[in-house]
Amino acid sequence: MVRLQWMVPGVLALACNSPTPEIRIGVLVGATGPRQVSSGLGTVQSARLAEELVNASGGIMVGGVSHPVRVIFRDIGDQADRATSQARDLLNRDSVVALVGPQFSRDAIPVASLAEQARVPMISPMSTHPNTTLGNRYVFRIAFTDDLQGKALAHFARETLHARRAALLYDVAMDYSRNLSQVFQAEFIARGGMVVSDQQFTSDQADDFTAQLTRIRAARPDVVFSPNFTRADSIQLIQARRLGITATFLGSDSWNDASLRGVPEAEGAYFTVQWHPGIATAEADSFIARYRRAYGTTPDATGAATWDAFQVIFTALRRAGSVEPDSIRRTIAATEGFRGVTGVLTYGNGGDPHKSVYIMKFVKGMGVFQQRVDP
Amino acid sequence: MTNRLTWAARSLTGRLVLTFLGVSAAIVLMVAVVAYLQARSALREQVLERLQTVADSREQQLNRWIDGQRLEVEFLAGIHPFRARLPELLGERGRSARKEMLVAVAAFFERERSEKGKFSELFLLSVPGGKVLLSTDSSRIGDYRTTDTYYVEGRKGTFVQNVYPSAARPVGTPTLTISTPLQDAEGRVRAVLAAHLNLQEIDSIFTDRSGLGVTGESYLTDRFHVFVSATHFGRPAYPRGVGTVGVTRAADAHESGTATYPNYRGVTVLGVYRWLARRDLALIVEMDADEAFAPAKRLLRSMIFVGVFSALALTLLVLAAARRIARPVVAIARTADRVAAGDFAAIAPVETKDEVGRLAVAFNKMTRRLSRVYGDQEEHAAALERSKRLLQEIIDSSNAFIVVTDLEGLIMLANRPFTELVGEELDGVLARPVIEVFPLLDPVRRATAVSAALASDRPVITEESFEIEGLLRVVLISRVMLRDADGAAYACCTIATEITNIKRAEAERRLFADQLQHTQKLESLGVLAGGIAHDFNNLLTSILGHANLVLDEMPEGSRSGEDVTRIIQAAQRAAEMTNQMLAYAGRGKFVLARVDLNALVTQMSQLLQVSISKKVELCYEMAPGLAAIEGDPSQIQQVVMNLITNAAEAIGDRVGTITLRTGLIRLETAQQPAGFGAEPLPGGDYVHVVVADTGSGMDAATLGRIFEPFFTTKFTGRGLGLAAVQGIMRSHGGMLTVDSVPDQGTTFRVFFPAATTATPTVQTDPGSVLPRRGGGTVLIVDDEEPIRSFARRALERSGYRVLDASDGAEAMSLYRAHLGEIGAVVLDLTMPVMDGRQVLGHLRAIDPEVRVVLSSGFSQHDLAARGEAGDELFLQKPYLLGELLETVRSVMDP
Repeated sequence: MVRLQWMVPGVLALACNSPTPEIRIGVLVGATGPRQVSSGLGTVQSARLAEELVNASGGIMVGGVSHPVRVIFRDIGDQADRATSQARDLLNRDSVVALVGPQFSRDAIPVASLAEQARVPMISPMSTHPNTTLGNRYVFRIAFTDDLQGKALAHFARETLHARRAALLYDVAMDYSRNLSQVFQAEFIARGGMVVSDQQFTSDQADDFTAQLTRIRAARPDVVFSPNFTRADSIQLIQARRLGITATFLGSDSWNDASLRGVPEAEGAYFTVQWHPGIATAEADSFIARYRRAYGTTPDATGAATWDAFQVIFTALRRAGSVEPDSIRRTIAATEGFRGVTGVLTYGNGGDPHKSVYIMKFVKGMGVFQQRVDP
Repeated sequence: MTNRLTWAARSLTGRLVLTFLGVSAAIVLMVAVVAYLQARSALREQVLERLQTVADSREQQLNRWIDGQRLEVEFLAGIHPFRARLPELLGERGRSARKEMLVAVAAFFERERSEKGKFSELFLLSVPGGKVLLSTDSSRIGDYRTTDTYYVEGRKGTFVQNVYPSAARPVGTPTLTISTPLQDAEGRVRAVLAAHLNLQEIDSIFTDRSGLGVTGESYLTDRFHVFVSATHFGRPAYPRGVGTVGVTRAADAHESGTATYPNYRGVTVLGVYRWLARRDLALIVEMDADEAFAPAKRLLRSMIFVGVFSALALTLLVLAAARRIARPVVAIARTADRVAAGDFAAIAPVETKDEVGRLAVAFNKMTRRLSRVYGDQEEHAAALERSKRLLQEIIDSSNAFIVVTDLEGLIMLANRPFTELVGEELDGVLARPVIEVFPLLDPVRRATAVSAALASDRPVITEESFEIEGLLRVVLISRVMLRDADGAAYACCTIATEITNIKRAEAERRLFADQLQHTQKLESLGVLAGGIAHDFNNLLTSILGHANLVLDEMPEGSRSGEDVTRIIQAAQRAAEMTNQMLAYAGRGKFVLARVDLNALVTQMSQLLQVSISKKVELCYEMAPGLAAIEGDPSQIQQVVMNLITNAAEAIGDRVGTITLRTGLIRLETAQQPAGFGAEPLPGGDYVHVVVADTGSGMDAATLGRIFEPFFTTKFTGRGLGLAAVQGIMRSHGGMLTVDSVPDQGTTFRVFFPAATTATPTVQTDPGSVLPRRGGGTVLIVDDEEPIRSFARRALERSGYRVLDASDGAEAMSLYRAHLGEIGAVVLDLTMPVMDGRQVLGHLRAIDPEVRVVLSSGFSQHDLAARGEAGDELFLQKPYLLGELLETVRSVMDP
């Protein structure tokens, strides 16, 4: 009996001829619920494309051994506490070497803390809130920050649109929308503008904005700044025009070009993008071609940023020569002049890259490039 | 070996005792191990049962606690007056009412939290919006929990959100939240009351040590393997949770059971794990295996101690018994030892009447017999030993190698020269196969020789050679069979005598004879060539001279003039041919001068370029500052020209390269370049010229013949080229070597001794000196009439009065008759009856001041070799008109 017990581990050790271990990368994505359209599809498709292409070329060579890559998707719906649970599951039970996502700052901020605690690198492609990376050594992003885009939009409203009176309309329960509105407000006032109305709502009552819009109409603003998400954006635009508000709407990078295309009320509104398929570079063209071949559609900014996040991680893995999360983190942090789809990435100081903000305008239902604002 | 045997192995008693000891130790160990294993198995069951009980109790306590908290929250939501006063709280009755209300509720919340200690945070969320209106943690007021599950679900009814990682700070803390709706008087949900439970409370359940012994512990983890416990959560040692067998089986597989595994500290434990599905928690109860199995180990130790002690005691008893049985046998053994040592007087004691007693009697009988036999044998052996030694000394004293082998070829006897040759001691070679001891011996040849010896009564003699330490040694081997009285062969005696030195001397003698023959051949050829050349030169002098005279008297541009010019050209070529013959024989015309080889080659470069094909590239690699050599510049030019044209012809019509290299090399006597038919060069400095081509190369057969006169591979050519070159090199005290690889090219090297003495350097082009009309009388002495007539006419035309004589006697009488008139005598050195040297002696006797120009078909160098050269001016035949006049003029007007 006892003999048998002693022998078993030996036999197992002999029988255990393990294949090359796969490199697991976790993706936290809102694949169900209201965010599926605005960001989920681009995230999933780009991640899957990155996984397929890297595996088709034999996986990632780390320290002379080729490892296959496995991307594990976790749906976080529209809830921050679901994001933390899924993140912990990926970290503790699936033993991923890196996390990609979440895309929204409300989820990305708590998940960033978990990644930091677990000492696993995380790249949020699209989160723009400063707190995502603030004080974290293991957390990076592909996007520009809200600080940058808030200031860029305020500058644009004042100097290009010559607006003097601005109204704010934002989801106060969203860290992103709240913080961005604050940045815009501060900059707009600093540049001599006036914020004439500050209207808020929460995500659980985002169907009717008549009350807020009526108050805005009374304040007679030149521009309405509404850094919200697609569903709210389109309702707001439609309701505002119905109420006779003619002020120019300003959106942020949360606006979804493709979804607003069917909303005629969006005509003439301005918004920012992290990336746009129309901004041609060699990297972007190659990515768009691959994406189209795979899915038959043109990628959006979320897709592009997600793709870049994967390429940054793959490059770091190859250069680190190790699948240890800590060495991956060091190599990501040392990324310099990486030519990504969304621009050239350099993590000089912390996890925020220096990126340009692109301002677009809806003209005949299409987003048209207006201005580039460099940091 | 014998000294190292232990007492146990040597002694009968020892073996008996050891065997017994071994058997009893094995039994003791076996019993102990079996008992230990059984005890262990029983203990395991027992401990796990105890841990299960603990787990049961913990699970119940936990459920009771959470249910209690839930009731508490619901109770709070139900009892407090703020339910009735929600409108104030939500600000519907004005700001001040709200503020007052907030302060009151906040105080109530804080009391609930701090006094009961069950909640870590108690807070109120607005509906709609999920905004934190009020909280015991004031930093959270104003936050939005709009999408948090407990808010969404808490609006519908009381909700327990099982342990999850908190999304609010501190992020990731395992949190258990209970929420319940607050309704206003109309039954509308106006707010959600929520409480994060203080999970430290759980610690009080789990730190209870009853039933856990010293090392036992119980704890919870969430489904992500993170400790749900104040004492463990957030430890930096577990940044990604704890993945022990217990935790993963419970949290991942949702199993419950028991196992033995290393716990989170790496210590092997007995563990009970459970998945609490209602709570999404893994419950783990563990105890260190060391503690659990400690009683079994104690049992094992005491069993081994007692067992070893009793085995030792028994062994002593066995020892005593074994001694008594073994004593008579031991006595016989001791006696046998003494007999073996030569003491035949020893007698074994007969102590018993059993088998051992009979053994002792038989042994004593045997000893007595042995004692008798042994006495005779000793003398015999001594005599044998003496004669063996004598035989060995005899054969050792021989210079030859002597080996006697049996019919299998095994060595029976060998002498010292042989053992020294193979580098072994005599004892080391005896009884070994001779072909193994001396592996250079060819087994087939040896077998043939031995079978020849078997068939004959006489020695069979063979000559063999062996390479020993790099030297080839030749021996004469004589093999003879040794036969017994019946004539049957029983051994083979081999005597090998070394004849290496004799062989070497013989070979040297043969080599010397060959060299001598070669030298003689060359010399006779030289004499022949010299003789022919001499006669030819006389003829050519006449032909050239007369042709010159005719040409001089002809008008410029006449047709006959051209014909005569052709005669002169043909004669000059004949003269060249003669020179080549002389060169081959090493007796060419020789002007000794100091020559700078680089300058000579540079002067020739244009000539060389035109004499080779345009497809061939000629490269020069001249060593700067090259030492001068002594030699005949025109002959050296001939050497260079010959080598270059040969190289060009080897390349033929193809594209190729000829490299001409000069350099200085020091030859040690020992490092002679291998030359064809060359005599070795003395050591010293040599200037060498290398001509390498990329042409067709030559095979060994061609290479062996290239220096033969008239050997040629060309369709045209006079065939004296390389033979002449070799002759020139020989006459310069130099040498010529050649390396050739078919299809790759040929490299010729010529070596000239570097000049040591200061010889004047001459220009290779002496320049023509215009003849001047002289005056006075010249006496021509030559046995060849045509030469006399040519010389006469030539000198007379230049205004000299000419006398001529056909031999020495006539010359002397003419000189006497015209004493004082004759300004110069042109004297042929090679004449019948009295040669030129003798004539000169007589003339000197008549007139010590006589002025003489010597002339000969032999070269000056050749004459010098014969001892016929002097300080006099010399005119080499065939000479031209101008040369004759110039020499005569210079002797008359010194």
